[in-house]
Amino acid sequence: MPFDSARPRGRIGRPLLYQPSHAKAPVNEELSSPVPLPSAPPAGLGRFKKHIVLGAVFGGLLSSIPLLNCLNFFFCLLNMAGIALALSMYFKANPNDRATNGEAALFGTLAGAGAGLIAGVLGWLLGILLAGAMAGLMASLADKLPPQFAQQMAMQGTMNLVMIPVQIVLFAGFGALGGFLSLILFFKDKLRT
Amino acid sequence: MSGRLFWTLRALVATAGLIPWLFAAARARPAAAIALFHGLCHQLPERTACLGGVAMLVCSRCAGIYAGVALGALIPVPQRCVPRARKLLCVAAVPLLADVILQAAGAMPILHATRLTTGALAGWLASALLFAALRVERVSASDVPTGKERGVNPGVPSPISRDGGA
Repeated sequence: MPFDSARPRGRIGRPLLYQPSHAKAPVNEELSSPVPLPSAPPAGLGRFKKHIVLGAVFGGLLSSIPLLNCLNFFFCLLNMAGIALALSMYFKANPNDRATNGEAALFGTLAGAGAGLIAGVLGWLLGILLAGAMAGLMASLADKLPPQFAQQMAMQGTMNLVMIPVQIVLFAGFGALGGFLSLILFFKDKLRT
Repeated sequence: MSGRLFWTLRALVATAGLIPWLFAAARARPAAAIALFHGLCHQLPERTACLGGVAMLVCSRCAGIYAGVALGALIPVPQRCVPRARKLLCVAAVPLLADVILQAAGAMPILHATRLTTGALAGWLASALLFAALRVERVSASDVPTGKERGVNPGVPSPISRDGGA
């Protein structure tokens, strides 16, 4: 009979033919116990949701501030800065997470589109306020507001509203570049290849 | 990134880059568009190129950047350039910054040709690198074998899984 080293042995060295019941129990117990697994970071773009909104708000508000928006003269800088800021906040909150170039670009696209919407709506509201103030000033100077002026103001307001989708496309396009450039320029160690 | 998303992003970036050129091609300068681009460009008349006698909505450097961004979405750089993206972007930024500094200092006259070219180079490279990087990701994602290709039957639980072992 060949020597079977794998089997458990008794006192005289013969292999035991039965398995004691307590020998197997801990293994089964270990397998069936509800041990919580460490939570993996959620996959997909959903994990960026909060920071995309933050990026949109940063970019949109910064681009709406009259003198500050001159910084947009260089490559939509404020829009990109908003995206870079939101990305840095995300990586600070999730230091172990990584993002691919595609995820960063989509992050930037969505944040940029939001920024375009916010900047467009704020610009439209500011335009209406300014037009109202101008109309009040004109009415105080002349007895009656010229009808052509009122018509022009109304048309300007409508055109500003029509331009909001154009602004969204513009900001979303540059936002995609902003997300990608932020990742490769500032967060290279966070790039998932 | 799925193929549809990739092409949508490409179309979006190309459209964003084409917007001022489309207005210029239509010889249109609506007040709302001027106001929109005023937040993105100084629109100084001496630095703005004219097409068909009508001034563009953005200065010639911005027009170059927009054109480059649109072009980059259509003509990406080779995929082997992606690992050197940072260096290439820095190299493309050098002529742009040199043009900005020299023209601002008055050492060089305002030339639409240099403004357009340097802007277009930077815009094209940024956009082209983005789409080359996305293409690399798509290729590497399609190289990873799926469960079916690995010979794993999704209907049968694996013997080492928690459920299968119990």
